[in-house]
Amino acid sequence: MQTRFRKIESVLIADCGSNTTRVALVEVVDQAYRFVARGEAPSTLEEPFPDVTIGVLNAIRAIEDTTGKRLLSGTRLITPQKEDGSGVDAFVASSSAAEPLRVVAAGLVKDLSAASAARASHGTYTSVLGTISLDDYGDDYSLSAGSSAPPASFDYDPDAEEMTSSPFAGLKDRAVTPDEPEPVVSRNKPKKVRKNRVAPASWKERQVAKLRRLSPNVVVISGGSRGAKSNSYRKLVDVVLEANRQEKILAITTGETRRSSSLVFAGPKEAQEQVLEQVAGQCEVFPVDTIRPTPDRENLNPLQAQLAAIYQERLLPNLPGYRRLSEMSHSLITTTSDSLCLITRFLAKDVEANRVLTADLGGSNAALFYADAQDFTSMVRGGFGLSFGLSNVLAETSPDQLRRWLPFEINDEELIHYALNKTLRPHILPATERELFIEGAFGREALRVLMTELDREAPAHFNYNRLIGVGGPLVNVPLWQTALLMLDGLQPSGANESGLVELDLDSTMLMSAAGSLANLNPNAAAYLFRYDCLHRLGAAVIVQGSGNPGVIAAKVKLRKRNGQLKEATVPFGSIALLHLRADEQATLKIQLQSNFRIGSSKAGALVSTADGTYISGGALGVIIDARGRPIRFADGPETRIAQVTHWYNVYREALKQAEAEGSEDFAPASGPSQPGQPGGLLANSATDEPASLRETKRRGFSLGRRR
Amino acid sequence: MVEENPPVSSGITLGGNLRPHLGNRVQLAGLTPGSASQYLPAMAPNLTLKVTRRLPTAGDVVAGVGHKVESDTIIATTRISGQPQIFNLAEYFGVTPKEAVKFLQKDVQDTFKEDDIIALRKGLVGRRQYRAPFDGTLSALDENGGYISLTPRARPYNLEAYVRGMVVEVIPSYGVSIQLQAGYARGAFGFGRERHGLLRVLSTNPAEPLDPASIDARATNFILLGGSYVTAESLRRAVELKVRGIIAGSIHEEELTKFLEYRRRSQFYRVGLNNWRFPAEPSSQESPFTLVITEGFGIRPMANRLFEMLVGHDGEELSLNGQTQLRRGLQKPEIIIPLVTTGGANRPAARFEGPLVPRVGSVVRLINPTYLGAVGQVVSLPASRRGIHPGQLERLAKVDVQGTTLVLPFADIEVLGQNDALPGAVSG
Repeated sequence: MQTRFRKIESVLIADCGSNTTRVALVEVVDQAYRFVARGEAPSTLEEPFPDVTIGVLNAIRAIEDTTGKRLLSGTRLITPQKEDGSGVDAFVASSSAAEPLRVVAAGLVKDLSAASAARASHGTYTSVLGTISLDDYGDDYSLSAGSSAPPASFDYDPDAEEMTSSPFAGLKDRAVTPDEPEPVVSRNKPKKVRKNRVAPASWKERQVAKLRRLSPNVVVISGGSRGAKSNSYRKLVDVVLEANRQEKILAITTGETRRSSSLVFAGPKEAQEQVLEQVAGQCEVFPVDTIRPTPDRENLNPLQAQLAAIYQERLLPNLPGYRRLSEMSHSLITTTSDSLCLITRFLAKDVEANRVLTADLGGSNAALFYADAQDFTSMVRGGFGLSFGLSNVLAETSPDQLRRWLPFEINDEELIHYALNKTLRPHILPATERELFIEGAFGREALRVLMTELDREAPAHFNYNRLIGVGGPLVNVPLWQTALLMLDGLQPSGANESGLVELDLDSTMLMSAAGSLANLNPNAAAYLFRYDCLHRLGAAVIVQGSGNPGVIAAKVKLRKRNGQLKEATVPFGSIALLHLRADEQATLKIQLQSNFRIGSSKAGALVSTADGTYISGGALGVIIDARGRPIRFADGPETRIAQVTHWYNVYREALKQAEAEGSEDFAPASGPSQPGQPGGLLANSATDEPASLRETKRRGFSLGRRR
Repeated sequence: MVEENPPVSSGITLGGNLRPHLGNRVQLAGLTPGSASQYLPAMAPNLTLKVTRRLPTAGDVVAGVGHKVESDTIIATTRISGQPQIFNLAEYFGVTPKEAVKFLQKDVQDTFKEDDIIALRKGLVGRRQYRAPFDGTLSALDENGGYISLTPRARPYNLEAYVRGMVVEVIPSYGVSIQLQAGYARGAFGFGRERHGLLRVLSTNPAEPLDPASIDARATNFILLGGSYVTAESLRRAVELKVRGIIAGSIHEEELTKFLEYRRRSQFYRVGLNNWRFPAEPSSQESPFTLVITEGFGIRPMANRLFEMLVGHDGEELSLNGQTQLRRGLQKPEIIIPLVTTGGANRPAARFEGPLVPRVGSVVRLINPTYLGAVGQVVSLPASRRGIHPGQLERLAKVDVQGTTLVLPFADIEVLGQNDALPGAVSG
């Protein structure tokens, strides 16, 4: 059945981030939906303006200023579009600014079920507060199975001991009013202090106490393949019911409203019924399909969809001004992560053999989405980003890890204070080169942490051939920095069959907009995405292997279709850039040295583009990354700084070389394309076949190998 | 045999995610709420402020419209019940909830004294009882779960005026609004409830740290002003000597975590829903003194403008609130200096126009990490909107900081005042 969608001539798409609100104007131009203008304004979430729509209206006013088109009358959107061209037909919005969903993951076994529930919970903006499991000993980590420190995937560190030792601990009594007279009783006849016999708390008591302390919105109980013992679930469900019961009686006492934790049960069908029976209306239960249909297979999607629905229904409306925003909007307000997820999946299905990784780096949220033709996986972290979330990024990395990426000496305190001060004032922007570098180092580490967590989910390393960067911290820096940031943070190893990763950047910041538009009009969204969204940076060839620093790893020959030849020798531990304009195509021949390989080629092979196929260029060109996986850093601080400085300078050197050669075609890649300037079909390879490199089967090659 | 009571399971939710008491707010007087001009400047020597004070629960408002109040005048009183504690009787006696309820010796809403028997089970072999852990009320009973809830006896709670001024509005049963002429400054970070006290200046210039040795017996009950940074040692001395408050430019993260007794520093970095998580919640009313850090973390001087303003009020009374919430109910620490004794009431209040946007001549505080704590003067506003971030369009200002000209985005500066010559700056 064909669905008819509303006819829309023009639409405004808003994305309310935690720092910036962006609004894009999309109109029908030449019978196609095209991006016309974008407006930005600081997000308005806090006093004195706790209403997102104020920021949205400011951003719309910015569009009015640049286009001269009248969109607002007072504080009201003119809709539908008038004869004189003022107004728009529709308005849609998405947001990532609402608070994250507080989740506790529960499972039978901590390392297996609880851990996969925790991972599944990272499908939308969530904070996984902790886990409870049958082999867990509550707050006492020293007794818990597994490690002594809480794993990094917890957004809170439930180290209870830390909370009790405090300089304020003994001062509680003089709290309320200092003038209050001491109770007379205790002064006159000092009582014999009774020693209460401390009974060791049972497993259940400890879990209930932990659950109540964490006070989650949702408890996810998961695990068990078909036919698992349902008795074990009973204990977990019991903990949730008990915690809710305790909260309820406290609520009766204090007269406060406390929302009890909802229960999401991802288990086998038989167990679902038993759980429903056990709960018997005492709390809200959402049964979903089990996340482990068989012990070695995971299916997280039903659970993720359920959590996303709960987020949409419960947490998103907490956004200040949500009501006004939904009154303005012509479709349901979505989350930015949902929009990005939709587009990532679209892109994976749209082009054959496309396996896409989208990296979204924001101010207070960060996310990775992976999609191929069959599968989809995501890792969304709330409160983890480059402005408000910077302190949390710091907590999960270390100054030593950050320092690796910096081309200058820096001490721990500068890095720590940078993160803390940025958390205090999330709106500040880097004003010096040094700050930009520090921000970049934090960005790399944030991506690294996310990638590590995403990897834990996959049986094998993600084999993606397209990498898309989204979000202010990636878009607002020079293009070479963006490309490096993605390569450093995610360290792609290139697709198995080709050794290539295509780098794209959502420089118009329209990707989430296209996702929200899809709810209203999928055709418009597809058009918008294809033509105006991605800015192609180029292709990265990842040379893997190891050797002594400085030893030659690969010799590269790039022959453009116009016959022009570029050659480069890439030593191990370095990176090279061969410029190839977005509208140019070329063949590539890479002679690998022994110990080095590309994709699944043999070590020391000669690889080249297949006959009749070409590699397309981009704003940067073809990047040859021969730094090994994982990237190896030189040992001494001075050599490391020299090494990192070289990486940062590759673009500048390539530019210099191009000037010396007299080729004037090196596009200034200092910034993304201007808004309103569509990238065009060639620049945008969303519809292109992904280029591939392969080991040449011709005879000439064996020579190389024999050597 | 009589068994002793086990400890009652605590009903207190730990963690830094409790919202600070938001009943109190400071705003500009005489302006419509919600308007742009309601926004308070980062610092102003003379404003007409309206301070709203609210009880956490309904009570009696003592003050009336027109009353002149001092900072310590009690304006409203109420009784606050303690945090109720719940106890599972059924588990304690090892019986079903229905049976457990029968052992109760008190009815719901009955009061009890510490050690009164609340529940008693007589068996063939002996008796087992549950005694009250404190004075209080049996506030609720859950027959299905076998829980009882015990609420500690309510304690009197007096709400002080916090600032010196005149009551202009009464919120029935809850509190009042107090209007006053005052100097105002907003800090970056802090903790501790609203307090007032006399200011004692302990640093001679904004770059001088607060020396722990200078905190002596004379500091008791005072609010201390340090120039640049405070150390854990200074903070500990402040607790010992019952100092009411400390205002300083910055604090080193290591010193703060040392003072707060974190065992692992990285514990501190985690941000919860809206704030850093402190052990035992110093932003609540429990902290022994109030700390206001004006610039941020590190070893940074206090903005000299602000330091000079505060030094000008040495020995005078001021009110400060250190409670900080980073988001979702943004709250920053504040310093209020009532101007009544210095004739401030007669002085016309400085006219304040909307959010302070930098203009040529504006005196600005630099808040980006590199220049934190510095103060400069805007020399020009370039037309270009591309700063160091090539992709981001931002409004820029050329700022003269002691002879050096910097180009900074508007987001990185905070206006402290207008059109004044910068001390020591090259004019032009």
